[in-house]
Amino acid sequence: MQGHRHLEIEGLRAGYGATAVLEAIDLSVPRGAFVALLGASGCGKSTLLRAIAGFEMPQAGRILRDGVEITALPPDRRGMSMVFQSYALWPHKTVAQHLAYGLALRRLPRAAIAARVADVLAMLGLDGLEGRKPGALSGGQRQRVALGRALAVEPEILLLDEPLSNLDARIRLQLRTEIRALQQRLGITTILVTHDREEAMVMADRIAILDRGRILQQGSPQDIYTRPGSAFVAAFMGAENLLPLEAVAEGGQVILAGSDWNAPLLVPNLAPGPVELRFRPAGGALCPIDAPPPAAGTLSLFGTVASCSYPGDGWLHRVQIGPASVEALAPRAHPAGSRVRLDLPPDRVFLFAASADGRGAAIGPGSRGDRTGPILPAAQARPERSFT
Amino acid sequence: MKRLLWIPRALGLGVLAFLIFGPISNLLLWAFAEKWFYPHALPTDWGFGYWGRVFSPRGGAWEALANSVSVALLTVALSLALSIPAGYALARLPLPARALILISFLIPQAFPNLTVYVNIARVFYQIGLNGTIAGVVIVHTVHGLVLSVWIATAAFAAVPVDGEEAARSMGAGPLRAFLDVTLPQAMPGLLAAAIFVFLESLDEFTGSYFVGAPDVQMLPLTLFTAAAGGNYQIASITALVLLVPSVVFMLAVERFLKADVLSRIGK
Repeated sequence: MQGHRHLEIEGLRAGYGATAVLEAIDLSVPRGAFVALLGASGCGKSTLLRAIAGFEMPQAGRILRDGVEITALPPDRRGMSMVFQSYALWPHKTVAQHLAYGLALRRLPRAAIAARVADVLAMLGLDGLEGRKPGALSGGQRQRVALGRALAVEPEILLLDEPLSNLDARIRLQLRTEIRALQQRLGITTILVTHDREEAMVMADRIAILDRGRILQQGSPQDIYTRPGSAFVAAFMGAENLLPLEAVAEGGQVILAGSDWNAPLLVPNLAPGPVELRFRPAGGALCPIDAPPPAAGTLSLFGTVASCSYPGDGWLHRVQIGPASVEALAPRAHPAGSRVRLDLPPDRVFLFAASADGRGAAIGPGSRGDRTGPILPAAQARPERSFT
Repeated sequence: MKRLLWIPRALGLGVLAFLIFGPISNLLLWAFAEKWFYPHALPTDWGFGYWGRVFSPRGGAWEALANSVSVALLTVALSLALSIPAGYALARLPLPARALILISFLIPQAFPNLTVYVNIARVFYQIGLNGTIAGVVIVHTVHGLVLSVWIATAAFAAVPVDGEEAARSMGAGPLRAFLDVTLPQAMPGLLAAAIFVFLESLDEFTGSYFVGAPDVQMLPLTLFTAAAGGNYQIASITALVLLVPSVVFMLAVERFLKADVLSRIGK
């Protein structure tokens, strides 16, 4: 499935005047891959997609398809189909006219168009709706028409701009899997823009995380989830619990210093200085303060339960640990006011060099730094990820 | 049966026009009055005598009607031909001084009509446009552009850009996408602009007088001549004739408008 590089973006910069919306974007998409551009609103992900589609002229950089530069080509000559967040259906055309539009432009014979339209109608479960106009369709049906219009022309590259964000939760989940299955079956190179982490992880086989017009990290969903390269990515991937810790040199080693609310711990690849600890609510084991000690290498935090609720999948506790209030999921409830210990196994702990903007680089065991081996100051460990 | 439904609709529109132009009902009396002298409340003699005079070859009503209608239609065509691209550009493209351009279309209205048209007549006289249909059409278009450019700009601004982008993404060139997607959606607004321009042109007087008269005889000019001469019958009949193209035009446009407006409401 992973063919040669189908779409390549090199040093792309886009924006309005001096304000850059995108900066130095490098992205390579293999043929048949499903790539998700994931980021909060305003991070530039939609601008990137529109630049790929040809609706946004980049200020610098190149876009190549199959090694041929297409940076200056108009959108209608790029061999890409785009599905818009608003669906962008035409209120004066019927479903069948939507599906046939691109085919008629390609001057296909009438019979071939009719056959292809029937195929797409069947493929997307739109049979019987071909004579309707968009006004007479439900949200999910409109989405399917938008998708069908894009797929009918058998594009080489499919661009999806938050295609599911306007739908009800249930239809969204259903279409998510449908689109993924369709993409796999047809083998279309697909780029999805979304702000929904789960959507990106379920649909894509590669995720690029964008922040402030730059790609912070790319990789498989599992890779990014388990090895976030920066505090921002960790937080975006659900590790929103944040605690400040201090790394100190002690006897030739660097350890996480103990305090009233954490036990000291020896951590590999640590540089002395303030450290940000991030972890997910489900990342740790919550137990009474006097429970038997955890396995070696576990980071233990001590705190008091502030509140407890049941959102499903266990009890969600708000625990005051030192200066911070964190969330912790546990299979059983600990009453408010009780003293608890939160044990975080090494692979659930994300440590970052503390930085003012919360976008510090990764260090410690959960980071990518431990692949590089030598213990380096955080700022040098991943220089390409530090912007401050 | 269903095809005859336009008849009640035409009647309805006629009635509406009659009500709106309520004072004009007086015209109706005058149009059929052979004799109407003070202190009689109603004419003492009724008849079609003056109709014959108006529509006789020497009366010139046919010529004036043909001139007025063709000038109005040409004005609509020229105004739309200019305001469709202008409105699209003003609504969609990142033009500098957008507001300034829009306001500049108002400038001809900012000065007294007479001042403007006397000057236009002088210029047209030099370049041989005075006393021609083309000259009158241009004058009416200058007048009509204010309405049509503003309405067209609003119409195009109301059409979402992404529909056009979707067409581009499907492989349509810029013009194709405009014709297939944006223009049909802006059509109700453009037709409204056409109605306004048509009606404005039909009863425009000052410009027609300075640029057209006496070579291009128009209905408002006939009306003016008759009314100035104290001939209320002929003035009234001309005024009634002036109503006919308005109603016919609105009827025609209303047929187009209906399908399009409905498809937009269904969105």
